[in-house]
Amino acid sequence: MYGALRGRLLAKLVALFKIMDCSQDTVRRLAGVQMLSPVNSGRPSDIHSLVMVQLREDAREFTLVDIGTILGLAHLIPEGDRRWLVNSRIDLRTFNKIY
Amino acid sequence: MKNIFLEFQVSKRTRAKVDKQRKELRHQRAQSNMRVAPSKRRRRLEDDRDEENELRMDMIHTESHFNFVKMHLPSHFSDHIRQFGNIPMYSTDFGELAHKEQIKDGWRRSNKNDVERQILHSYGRQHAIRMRLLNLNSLRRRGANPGDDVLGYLDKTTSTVSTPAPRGRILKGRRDDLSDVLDFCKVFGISLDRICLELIRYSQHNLPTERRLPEEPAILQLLPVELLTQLEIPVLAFQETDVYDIHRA
Repeated sequence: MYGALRGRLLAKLVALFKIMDCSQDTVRRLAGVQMLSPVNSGRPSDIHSLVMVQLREDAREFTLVDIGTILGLAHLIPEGDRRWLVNSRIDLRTFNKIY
Repeated sequence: MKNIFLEFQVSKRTRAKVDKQRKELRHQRAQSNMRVAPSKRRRRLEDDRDEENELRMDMIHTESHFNFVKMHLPSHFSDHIRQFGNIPMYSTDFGELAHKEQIKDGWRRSNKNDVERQILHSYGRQHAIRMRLLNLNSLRRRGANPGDDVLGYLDKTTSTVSTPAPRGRILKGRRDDLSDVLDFCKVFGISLDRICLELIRYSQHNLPTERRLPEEPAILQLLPVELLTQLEIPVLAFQETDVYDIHRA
C-alpha cells in the first residue's frame, strides 16, 4: 500500500482536540487532518529516490482520525506547488542537529 | 573576514607579482639614490620602505579573493542533501579506519604465518568480545547482576529480556476559548454539517456499535470539546530498544 511508504500515509495536521461523549461518559482524543496522496503510487523517483506526496484538489479538507494512529512527524521538502518530497534519508534528530 | 585571512590565502600568482614589482621598484630607487647625498639617503630609504609596503598591501587587496574550492563547496551542501541524503553517509572515514583496525592491527598481531586466516580470526574475536561487553552493559542497565559464569548467564537471559512497553501520546497546550463542537466550527471556519459528517464517519469506521457517538446533529453540536495545541509522540530512536525521541506536533 502506497508503495515505498508501506501502508503509512502523510497528512497535514489541522487541529488536535478532545471530544466528550456525555451519554457514555467517554473522551475521544482526535486530530483533524488533511490527507496527502502519494504521487506515482508511492514509488520512489528515479532522480532523487524519494517518494513525493501531493495535496489533491478533490481531497476532503478535514478528516478525523484518532491520535493513536499518528506515528510521528515526517520531514517534507516543498517541491513545486502543493507537492512535497518525503525525506526518508535523514532522521529528524540528525536534521535538527545540522540545521 | 577577507582582511583577517588575507595573509594566509594570497595566491602564488599574486605573491609572484608583488615580488616582481618590489624588485623593479628597488632597482629604480637604487639608481636614483646614487645621486643623493649620504646624509639624506637613510631618511629616503625609510620613506621608500613605507611606500613599498603600502603598494604591496594594495596589490594584495586588489588581487586576492575567496573564490577557491574549499570555500565554494559548502554552497552546494543543501542541494547535495536534497538529492542524495546526508553527507556523512558518503564519508570514507569508516572505510579507512576499517583498513587500519581490521587489517593492519591484525597483521601486527599475527606471527606472519598463514596471515590472512590470523587477521580474520583476530578481528572476529575482538568483535565477539565487544558484543559480549555491550550485552553485559545492557543487562546491568536493566538491573541484572551477572554472576561469575557470565557467558552461561548471558545465554540464558538474553532471550527472556522483554522490551519496555511503548509510551503513550500526550496532548498539551489547552485553549480555553471554545467549549463545544459549534465553537470548534467557528474557530476553524468549517461548516457544522461538515464536522458532523466527519464525526459520524469516524464513529462508524472506528468505534464498536455500542460505543458510537450520537448521530443527530442537534446533539453532536453541543458535545463538549477541548482544543489543544501540541501533541507529543514518543518514537523509538534509531537502533535503540529503550530510548525514545519525542516528536512534537
